[in-house]
Amino acid sequence: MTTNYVATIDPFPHQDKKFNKLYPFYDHLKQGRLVTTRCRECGHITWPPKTMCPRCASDQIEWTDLPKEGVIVEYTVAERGIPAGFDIPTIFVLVQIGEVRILSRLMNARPDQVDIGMAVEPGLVIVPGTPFSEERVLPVFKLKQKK
Amino acid sequence: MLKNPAIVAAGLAKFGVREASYKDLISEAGQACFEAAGGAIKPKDIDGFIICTVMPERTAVQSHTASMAEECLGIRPGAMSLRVEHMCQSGNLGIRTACAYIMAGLCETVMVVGAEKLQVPVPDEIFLNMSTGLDRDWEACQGVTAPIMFAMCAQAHMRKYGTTREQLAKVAVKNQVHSAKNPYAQFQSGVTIEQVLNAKRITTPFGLFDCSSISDGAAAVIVTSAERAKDYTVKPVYFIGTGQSVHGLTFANHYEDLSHWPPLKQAAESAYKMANIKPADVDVAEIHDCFTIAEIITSEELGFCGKGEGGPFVESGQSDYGGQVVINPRGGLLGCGHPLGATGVAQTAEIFRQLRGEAGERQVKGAQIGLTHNNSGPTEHVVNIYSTEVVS
Repeated sequence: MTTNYVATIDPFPHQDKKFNKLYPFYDHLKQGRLVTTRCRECGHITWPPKTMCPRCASDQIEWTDLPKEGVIVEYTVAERGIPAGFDIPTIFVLVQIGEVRILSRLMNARPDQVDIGMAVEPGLVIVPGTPFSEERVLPVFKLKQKK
Repeated sequence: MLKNPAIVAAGLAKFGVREASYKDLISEAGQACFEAAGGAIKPKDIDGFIICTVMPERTAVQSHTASMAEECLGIRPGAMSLRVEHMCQSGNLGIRTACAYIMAGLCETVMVVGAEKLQVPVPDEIFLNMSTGLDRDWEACQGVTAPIMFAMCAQAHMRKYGTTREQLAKVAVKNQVHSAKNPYAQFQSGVTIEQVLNAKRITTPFGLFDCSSISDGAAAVIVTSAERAKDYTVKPVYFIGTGQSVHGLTFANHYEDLSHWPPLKQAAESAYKMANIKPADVDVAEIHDCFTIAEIITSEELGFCGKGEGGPFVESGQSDYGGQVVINPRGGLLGCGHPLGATGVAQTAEIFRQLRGEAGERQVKGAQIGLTHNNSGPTEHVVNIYSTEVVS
């Protein structure tokens, strides 16, 4: 028997209906909408999306759009120590967007362009698929274009 | 009735990039622990066993690790056998669990082993493995690893309190001076402030020496009841207080102010209350300096200095020999390396030696009260407190 030495893990979540109840998040993201879950009973909005309300424990959950603009609360520019396959450098940002905060990446920006308080807008990146789903996406941010 | 459980023996495997398997490391630490007991405790005397380990499924392709480790060490526990996994808190949680079992009367004598084999042949795999300790679906998938979260806390602390890059560096320098005197530490040559400031950049504001390394290692201690302890040693070290507080996994749901860690304050208050001591009573502390900023914020939340004063506290030598409290005489995670599940157990081994006056060159003079602390991220912490005297 011969085996190839297996040295990888899939760093991305399954996004297909078959594997994940939160699949609508990704369907919405592909349509340009950043959404999360809101409780129909108590109105609580959470990030990350959840299949139950962490405040009142209800399972009556609906999808709600997050605002089109957020603000950088904190950031760091990473040059090493991040998993293989990510850009060097990567700008990580903690973004306040509506009622929630999201930890993600700032795309299409140079490290000297980033600071706290800056306006950002949601976007997406395409990440490798699997034999079970062709295309996968992740939510990211980009600097808000000045009009 | 004497209720405080006591540590009666401790042993270590050297931390670092080891030419040894996962089982080798467990055997090395367990054997060293039995040997340190001087023949007073044999494998057959152990009726409870806990292994503290985080990711052997990934790094050694092994689950079911408590039974595996027991078999390595010749232990057949008749009262309790379990694994504790809580990322970097695993070690100190394993010890507090052992103590709880003993206090409940479910076990008499428990060996706690912390072990991790993190260095694997394919380097690219290592950071992917480490990312499994974060929320994979929403944060790890973005490439986030621990340095990213703590770097953001550092940026916030520097901005709010004026903590300087040099103060961060001082933590690394101090702890590597300590680890140079610890033969079980990964780093034994020390670093200068200039080396820390000019090191390879990891993520702003951290350079290489601001970050604990990804290491192999193991540690073991034996815990027993206060009554039984006297059969094994004339110098038991008593477990007198503990607290834990966990407020979530995702960094997105950290408190609004990243420079404050309220769960740590809460865990510390629980532990101080149970031990009936004040922060100023602590002589020696082994705290979780996974990154330089972590030691600074932890010094504050443990009450060793005021909020925001963690930078000046380390800079002025208050956390070193001759200061208010000696922090990380073992060398900390920055000096010893950080084999996740092994770290808290190795911290406990150090406090055991310190309170018995057996820490050699690293001895904190007259140490009577010691503290250990782990975090599994800024929002989750465990604190244990030890004394040379029984308190309850």
